[in-house]
Amino acid sequence: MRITQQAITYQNLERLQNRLEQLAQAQSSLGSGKRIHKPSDDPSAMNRSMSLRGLQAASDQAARNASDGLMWTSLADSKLQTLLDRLHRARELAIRSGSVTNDAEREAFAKELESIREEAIAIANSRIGDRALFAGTADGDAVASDGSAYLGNDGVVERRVGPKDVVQVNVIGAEVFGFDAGRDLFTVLADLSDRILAGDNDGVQGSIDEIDESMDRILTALAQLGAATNRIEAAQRRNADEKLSLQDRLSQVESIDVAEAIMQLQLQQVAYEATLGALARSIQPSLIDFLR
Amino acid sequence: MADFLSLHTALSGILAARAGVETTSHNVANAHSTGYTRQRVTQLSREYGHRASYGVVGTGTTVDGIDRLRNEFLDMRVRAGLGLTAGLDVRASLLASVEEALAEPELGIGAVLADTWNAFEELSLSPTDPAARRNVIATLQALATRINTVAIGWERVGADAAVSIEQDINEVNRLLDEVAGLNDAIRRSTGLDTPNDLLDRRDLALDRLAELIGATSRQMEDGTVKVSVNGLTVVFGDKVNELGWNRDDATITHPSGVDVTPGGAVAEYQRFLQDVLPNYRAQFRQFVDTLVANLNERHRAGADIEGTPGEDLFAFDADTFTLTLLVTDPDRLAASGTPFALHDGRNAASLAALREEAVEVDPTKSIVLDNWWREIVTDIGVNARTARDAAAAQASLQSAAELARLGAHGVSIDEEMVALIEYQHAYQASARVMTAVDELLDQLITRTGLVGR
Repeated sequence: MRITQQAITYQNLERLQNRLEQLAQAQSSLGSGKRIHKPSDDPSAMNRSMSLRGLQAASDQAARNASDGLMWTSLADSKLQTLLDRLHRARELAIRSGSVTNDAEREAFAKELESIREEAIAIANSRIGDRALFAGTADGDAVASDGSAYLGNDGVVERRVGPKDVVQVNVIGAEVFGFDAGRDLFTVLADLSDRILAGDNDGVQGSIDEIDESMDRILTALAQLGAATNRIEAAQRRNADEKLSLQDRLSQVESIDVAEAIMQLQLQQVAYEATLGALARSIQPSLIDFLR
Repeated sequence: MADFLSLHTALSGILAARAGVETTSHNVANAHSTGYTRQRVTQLSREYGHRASYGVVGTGTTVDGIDRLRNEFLDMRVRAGLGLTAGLDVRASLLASVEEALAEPELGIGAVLADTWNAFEELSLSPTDPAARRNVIATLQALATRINTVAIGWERVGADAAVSIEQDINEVNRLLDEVAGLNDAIRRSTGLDTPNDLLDRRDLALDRLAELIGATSRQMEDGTVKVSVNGLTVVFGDKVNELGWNRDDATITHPSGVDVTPGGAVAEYQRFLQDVLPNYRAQFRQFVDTLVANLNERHRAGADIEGTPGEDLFAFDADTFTLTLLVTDPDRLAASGTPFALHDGRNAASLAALREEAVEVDPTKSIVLDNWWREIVTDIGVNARTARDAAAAQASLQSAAELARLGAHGVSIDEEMVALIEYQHAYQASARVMTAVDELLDQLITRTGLVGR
C-alpha cells in the first residue's frame, strides 16, 4: 500500500483523538467515582440504578414513618400503663372503703378518687405534637374537660412502615375509655366516689366490677399497641437490613472499582504518550533531512 | 544536419525535465491541500524519427500531458461511506441531546418523582404541619418545572435539527451550483489542456454532497458529471435542479414535484424530525397525561384543611406541552381522607401510594409510574448507546477507506524528492549532451580544414 504524509498525519491524528477520548473518560470516571453518568453509558445499569434509587427513597421514608409510628405507640402505651396503675389504686380504694367506718376517711378516699379521675382525664387528653393522642383524627381534646363526653372521632392513624405494610398506630379514645360501651371510665370513677361518700357498699361492689371492665378495655388497647409496636420494630429491622443491601447494590451498579479505574487511567496515559511519541517520530523525518 | 538535430533532442530533454520539476514543485506545494490529487508528467519519446542511411534516429522526448492520479473506485467507496458516517454521527448526536435533556439520573424526573411521593407521605404523618404542606407544594412545583424543562429541551433539539436541515439544504444548493459551474468549465477546457485542479475542486464538492445528502455522481463522456440524489437528477451538465425544504413536514422537494428521499446527514435530521422525536414526545405526553390524571383523581378524593373537597392539582396542556401547578395554597392540599378530620392524612398517603401502585395506561397495560418512566429513560439510553456505537464502528470503517484514498491520491514528499532528483539529473544530463554537441560542432567549425597548416 502506498503511504503518504497526509495519510500518516490523518491516521495518527485519529488515533490520538481516540486515545485522548479514552483518557478523558478514564479521568472523568475516576474523578466522579461513578461508572455511569448518563443512561447511554450503560442502559441496563442505569435502569437498575434508577430502580434502586426509587427503592432507597421509599425505604428512607418508611424508616421515618416507622419512627413516627413508634412514637405514637410508645407514648400511648406509657400513658395507658399509667392510667392502669391509677385504676388499680382506685380499685384498691374501693375495696378498702368497705371496712371504713368514719366519714372523714370516706371523704379522704373520695378526694383521692377525684384526683385519680382528673388524672385520668388528663391522660385521656394526652397530646402528641399539636394533636390529641386518643382523639382519632379530630382536632382539639379527646374528652371534655369534665369527662362528660368524647370529643374525638374514630379516625384511624396509619403508618406505612414497609412496602405494602401499613400499621395502625393509634387507639380510639371512645373505645378505650368506654364511651362506646355506654359506661365511660370517668362516670364510673365519679359514681364510685359518690357511692363511697354515701356508704353504699353494694354500689361500690358494682363500681369495682365496672373498673375491672374498664381495665380490660385498656388492656385490650395495650395489647393492640404492643402488637403494633412489634410489627413496626420488625419492619425497622427489615428496613435497616434492606437499606444496607440497597446501598451495597447501588454502589455495585454505579460506583467504579477505584483500583481498576486507577489502573485504567495509567494504561490510557501510557497509551496516549506512546501515540504521541509515534506521531512525533513519524512526522519528523523525510527524505529532505537526508539530502544535501 | 544530424548534428544540429542532437541539440534539439537535448533541448526536448531539458524542457521535459523542467516540466517535471514544475509539476513536482506543484505537488510539494499542495502536499497538504484538501482534496488535492497528485499529478505526474507523462513523457513519451518523440514519434518523428530522423531517417538516416543507417536507420531511424530518435529525435528526443515530448511531454504528453500532466496526469491526475485519481482512482474513481476509491472515490466511490469513500463517498458511499461519507453519507453513512455523517448520518450516523448526526443520529448519535441528536439522541445524545435528547438524552442530555433528561438529566437522569441525578437531576431528572425520576428523582423528583421519588421526592414527590416522599413529600406526600411526610404530609400524611403530620397533615396540619405547614412546613410539610409547603414542602409538598414546592416538590410539585419542581416536578412541573422538571417536566416542562425536558419538554422544552426536546423542543429545542427539534428546532436545532430543523435549522441544520435548512443550512444543509442551502449548502447543497450552493454546491450543486458549484458543480454545474465546474462541469461547464471542464467541458470547455477538456481537449485543449487538462483541467486537473478544476477536477480536484469538483471532486471535493462531490465528497461534501455525498456527506450532506447522499448524492451520487456519474461521469459523462464530455467530462461533466451527472449528480443525483436517490435517482432524482440534481445536476446535469451545467443545469441545476435546486432542492427546496418544507418546514412543516420536513420533506425535501425537487422541482419535478417528487419528494426527495435524502441520504447522508439530511436523512437523519429528517428521520429525527418525522419519526424519532414525535415518537418520544408521544410517549412522554402519555406518561405526563397519566401521571397528572392519577394525581388529580386522588387529590379530588380528599378534603383540604377546611374540609372542602380537593381540586385538580395540575393542568396539562398536551398541545403546547406545559404542565401548570393549580394548587399553590398549602392549605388547599387535600391531605385528609375524611372531610373535617383535620389530622387525617390518609389521602396524602393514598397520593404517596402511587409510588408502588400500578396505574392503568390503557385497558391492556397497567404499570407503576416510576417503572414506566424508567422504561422510557432506558429506551432512550439504549437507542443513544446503539447509535453511538454504530457511529464509532462506521467511523473506523470510513477511516480505512479514507486512508486508502489518501494513500492513492495524496502527495508523498519522499516520492516527490526522488522525482525531483531524477528530473534534476535528467536536466543536467541533457545540458551535458548539449555541451557535448556544442563541442562536436566547435570541432567541425573551427578545427576542420586545418590539416597541414
